[in-house]
Amino acid sequence: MLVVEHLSKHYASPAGPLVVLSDVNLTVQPGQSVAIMGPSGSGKSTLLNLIGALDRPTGGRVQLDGQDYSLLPEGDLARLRNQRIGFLFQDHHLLPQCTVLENVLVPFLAFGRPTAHDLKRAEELLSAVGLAARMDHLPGELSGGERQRAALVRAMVTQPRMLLADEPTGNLDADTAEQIVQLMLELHRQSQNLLIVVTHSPGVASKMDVVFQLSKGILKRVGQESAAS
Amino acid sequence: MLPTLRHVKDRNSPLPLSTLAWKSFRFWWRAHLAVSIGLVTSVAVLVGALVLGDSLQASLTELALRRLGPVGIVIRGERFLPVDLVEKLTTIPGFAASFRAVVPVLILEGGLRFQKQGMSGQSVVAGQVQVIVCDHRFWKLDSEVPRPTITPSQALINVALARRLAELSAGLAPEPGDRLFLRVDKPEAIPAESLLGNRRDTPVTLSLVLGGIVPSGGMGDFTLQTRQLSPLTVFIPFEALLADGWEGKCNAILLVENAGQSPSEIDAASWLENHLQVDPEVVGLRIEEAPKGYYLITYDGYIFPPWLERIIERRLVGLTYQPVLTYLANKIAFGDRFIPYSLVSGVKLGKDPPFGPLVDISGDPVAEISPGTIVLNDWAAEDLGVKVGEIVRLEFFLPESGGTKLQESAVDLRVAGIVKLDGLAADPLWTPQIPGVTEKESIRDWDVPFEPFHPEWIRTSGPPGPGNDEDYWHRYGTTPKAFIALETARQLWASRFGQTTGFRVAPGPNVSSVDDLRQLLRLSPSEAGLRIETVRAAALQAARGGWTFVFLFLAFSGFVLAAGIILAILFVYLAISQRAGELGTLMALGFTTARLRQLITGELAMTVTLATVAGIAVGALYAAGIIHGLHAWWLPVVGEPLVSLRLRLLTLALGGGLGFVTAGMTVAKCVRDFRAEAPAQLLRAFGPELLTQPDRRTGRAKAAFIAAGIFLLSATMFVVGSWTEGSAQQKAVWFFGSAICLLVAGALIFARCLRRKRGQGRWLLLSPLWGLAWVNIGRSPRRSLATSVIVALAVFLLVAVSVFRLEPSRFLPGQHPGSGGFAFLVQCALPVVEDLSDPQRKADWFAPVVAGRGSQSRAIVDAMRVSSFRVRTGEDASCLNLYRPRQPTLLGVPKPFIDRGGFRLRPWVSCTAEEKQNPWRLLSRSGAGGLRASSTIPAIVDETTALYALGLSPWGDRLLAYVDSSGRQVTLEVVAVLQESIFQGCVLVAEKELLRLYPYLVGYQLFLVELSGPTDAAATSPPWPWGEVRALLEEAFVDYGAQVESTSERLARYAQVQNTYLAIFQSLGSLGLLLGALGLGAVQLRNVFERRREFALLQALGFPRRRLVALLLAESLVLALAGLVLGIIPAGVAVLPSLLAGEGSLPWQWLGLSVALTLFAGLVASVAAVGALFRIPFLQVLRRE
Repeated sequence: MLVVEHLSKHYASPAGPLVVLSDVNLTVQPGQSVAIMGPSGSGKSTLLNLIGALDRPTGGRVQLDGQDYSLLPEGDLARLRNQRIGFLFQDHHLLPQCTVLENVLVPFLAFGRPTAHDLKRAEELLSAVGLAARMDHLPGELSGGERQRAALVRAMVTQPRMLLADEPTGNLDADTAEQIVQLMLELHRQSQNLLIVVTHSPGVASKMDVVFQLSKGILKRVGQESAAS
Repeated sequence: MLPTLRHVKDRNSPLPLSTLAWKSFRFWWRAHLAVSIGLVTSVAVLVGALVLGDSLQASLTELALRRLGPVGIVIRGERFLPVDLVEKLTTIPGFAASFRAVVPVLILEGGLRFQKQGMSGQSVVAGQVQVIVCDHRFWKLDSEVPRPTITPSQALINVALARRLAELSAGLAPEPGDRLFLRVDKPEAIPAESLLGNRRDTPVTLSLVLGGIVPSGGMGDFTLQTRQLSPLTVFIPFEALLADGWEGKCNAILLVENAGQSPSEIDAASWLENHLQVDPEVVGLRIEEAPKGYYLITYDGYIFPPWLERIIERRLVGLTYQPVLTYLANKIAFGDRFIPYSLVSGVKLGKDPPFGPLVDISGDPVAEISPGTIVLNDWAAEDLGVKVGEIVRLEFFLPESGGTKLQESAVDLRVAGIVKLDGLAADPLWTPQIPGVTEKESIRDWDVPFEPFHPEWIRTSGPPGPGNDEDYWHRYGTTPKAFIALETARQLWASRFGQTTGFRVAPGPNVSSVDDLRQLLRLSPSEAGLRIETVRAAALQAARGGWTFVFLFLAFSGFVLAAGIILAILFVYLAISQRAGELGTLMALGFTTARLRQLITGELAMTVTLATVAGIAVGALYAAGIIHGLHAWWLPVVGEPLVSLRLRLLTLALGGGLGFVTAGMTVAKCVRDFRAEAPAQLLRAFGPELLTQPDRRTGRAKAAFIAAGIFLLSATMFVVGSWTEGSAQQKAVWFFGSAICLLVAGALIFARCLRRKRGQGRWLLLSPLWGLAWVNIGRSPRRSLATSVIVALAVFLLVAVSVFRLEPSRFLPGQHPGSGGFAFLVQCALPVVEDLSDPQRKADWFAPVVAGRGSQSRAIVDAMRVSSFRVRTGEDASCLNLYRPRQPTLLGVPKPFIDRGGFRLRPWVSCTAEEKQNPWRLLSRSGAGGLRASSTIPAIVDETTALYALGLSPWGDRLLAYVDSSGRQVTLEVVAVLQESIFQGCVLVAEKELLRLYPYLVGYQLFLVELSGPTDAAATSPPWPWGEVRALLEEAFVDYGAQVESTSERLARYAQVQNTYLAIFQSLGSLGLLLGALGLGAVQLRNVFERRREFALLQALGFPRRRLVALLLAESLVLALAGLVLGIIPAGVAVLPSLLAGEGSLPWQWLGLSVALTLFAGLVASVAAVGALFRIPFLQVLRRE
């Protein structure tokens, strides 16, 4: 379970502290999917980065399965990201020098090297998302949807407890976007992990269990089942 | 190739980090290539310098060994050796096992006049020719060339001399049948400057016919001198010299070791030292049994050299002996009566035979002669009419007189006794043999070498007995007419040549025959003054001399090395910033900073490895280029191509290893500095500044503090350099240190300026274009700083080094400060006995030359002042010789020259006020007065020679080891150095010290000529007709193998070599600027890429492209000009003192070149940036944003 309590993020500026997030509270249960919507500059990505341990909060705390990681040292944070969090970005951020399969295996390099078991899982997942024939292709040889599918597999290959997606369909056409969302939800259902999606798309948001609206740094639940407090 | 995933699918580790690193390395090859440029440059300059050193050493070694042929050891002596010594050597048991050939040769210096066959009256002269007198044994040393056969009247020449003669003869190549007139010095046992020395008949001319040209590559190139210039050699057979006193003489015995028999030539040399016993005759001793019951030891040079006298006295310990000094008195006078040309013996009489007593006319024994008294024989007393107690006057020539005219002196002595001309008093053996005198039947036939000689004084008529000199000679021969105390004789007649003319030895327990005494006086080679020289080992040692240049080259390469490293660091940062997004992704996926460092290290390790390999190849090419440059620039000075490229695996590995470590440390520093920010920021692909140490405010304050500290250090060094009492080089070290500190401080200040954020708007108000350019270069301060510093380093090197360029050619003879006011130098192969510093002797010397010329020549000779120097020929330690000298040529500085002063000298020891005024006086120091030891001899050396050729320094080693004529080690201490002088390459000591070390050194071989009058006002009034002066000098010294050179020509030759060094160092500066241009271009390219959104927007806002181009151009120029300023100001600090002291001139051309190259660098960068700008798909960029 993810618990976000009194989370805030300020940036220093010549005109004084710039408040991006203020007293954000959020709880997400295992198997639950959450959409966070909001206008540009509302702090959606910042919130996602804080939840994903990519950035550190100014105040408050973030707990995943009871572990508060807002104050963890860099090494532990990296291990947390590697083993318990999966990321899916608007830009796929695949390594251009590596094949699809290698890109999927890259997370295993963070603390060692992939095993045969990891390889098997990567191949299975890629087959599952329809990329069996593309495993040895470079990202530059793939379509936008294929790249994003590969990125999704990379995010899920370590079986993370939580999948964070930042505008995962922002660069895709409607049909491809639909395929990606379906795939993401399918994998989410299979793994019963936590899914948090930041999106501008009402269509994508509507497919999530809970929808939140972030505005001027304040998070409010706006639809579907009750999950936020 | 590293494995790809496909190949390792079945293994347990399908994707190790190394594979990712390899794939990343391949994918980002352009970025790695850019990093490689810096690294390759750094590796290449290291490898290049080492290969250059290796090539120099290998070439010098090969040349030296080729010149020696198979000869490994040479036996040489201070005097001529009998050729028979060769046979003596071969009879030593074990000799044949160690040596396979032993060859006697006479190696002389001489002058050569060359006349083409059928062209009588037209000839050319080559001075300083090596003459090798040899026989078939010499030619047998060269197994590849057929042994030449020549008759006694023929000579062979080597290719180098043939070429030289052809040059002098306007292309008429020498051919067999051409005439050669060879001037060589006649060997004389009695030193020419002693009383009985022959001054008139040396040198002699040998008229020879050219028999052929010895091809190069074999013994035709033979020389014992280690210098790169080919010797100009004439070969003549021993038979050609039979008539001139050389019969049976040689001065070097060449030894060839048996391969595999001797462990080393050093061992072979010590074996010789231990096994060779030198017979007394070899060193000129004569031993005979006298009728009066004693054995007599005399010396064929008349007076025993001091070193030989010491050895004899040591050997005679335990025996009774009597040293004698017999001298020629011109007159024994009493009142107006005198006896001419009488021999007087100084002796300490004994009470018992055979050393005494004499018997006086009363029959009483005379067993002692008191100092200040004289004992006459009754013949002389009667002739003079003198009685005991009366005073007689002895008139005689001083024992050491330069020139043909001797100086006379006299002494009054009281007659202490008159002895019977009988018994011991009637022994002609009191006097050793004097060639030309003692063997003559009549006193009229005396062939005395001295002047003035008055044959008219000799009385040949009258009745036999007193008053008839001819009768005395006929009856008593060389029996002295008077005896004085030995100590009195030595006071009067001892000289540098010695103080004893004979040892009379009484038979003793172990000496009962001449053979016993001969056995006793057999000497070891070192006792006999024979030097067993391991010439091959010495040549190999000397061949290391080229490293001096290489070390300098390596030092200056440091600037390019630094530029290469900065460039590499810059490109590493650029590469990292280019991949910020990728690194952010990896962090998001769980990579720690440490893991990312591992990945980057893996990639860069491959870059470093490949760059090292490429750097080795480029370094070898670079060395080849430098060698090509050396040949192009040096050829006119050193005469022949010398160095060829040598690639040794070990050197390449060493250079590559050093380069690898340097490159590795560079990238390790970059990786260590890599500090990943939050992955969220990385994912937004910010610039490189986020990827390295953050620019914290405390860091900025610290940098400012450091900059201030370094600036202060720079100022301090400048002040110390200005006030310190030291040489130009010492001061230069301070000023260069100050300049480098200033460069660092300037760079730090520039960095601070780049980082200042506030107030930048003002720049925009002053000049929108330049203001915006200034603001923009502050976007990536590190990049901007790095490029400007590279340019600054290159500019600094170009300008700072150029001020040391020498231009002596713009001076007329005698005007350059390094000439000391002397216009010409005359260097003779053969010594001139006359001291031409004496005006009368000079006038006499030039009289025959002036006689055939006009009044102008007379005026020139009248205005001419000559300083004569004695020369102990050694090695050339000037910059013209790349070999490391061991014992450079010694010059004896005469007292009048010391008093004259002149030249620019810098003392290396503390001086008295008088010495400060004229540091030449330091040469007169003796004992422990300010010297390191009482036995050291003060010496003056040219500063360049001292520092670079001899490796001396005022604060370190300033001692030089020499071996004197007796084989003893002596130490010279450099007390002062000459700046940029004509004396480069030799060591100057006081003449009296030189003669003390080498008493048998005779005559003068170097003459400095100054001309009073028009020279002093040369700038405004017409100077002397230099061509006429030169012609006069050449004619006057033509018989002495002279090389006449104006002092400005000499200095120009030295300068050309020094300027070549500087040109090579400056080429390093140009290389640095090229790197600067590359760096600048790359930075601008990257900037354009990162700012593509900004440029797209500006275009969308209506900015014309030319405006953007102008902006990019301005940015590049600001960076380049910043580098120019950062480099030129410190360079100015480095060179200002030299400029103010008038020792250099402002290097306008180099300044201009620096500015031009810097602008070129800016332009290159701009072109790169503009090209990138035009390739930006603006619409796409805008749409994406």
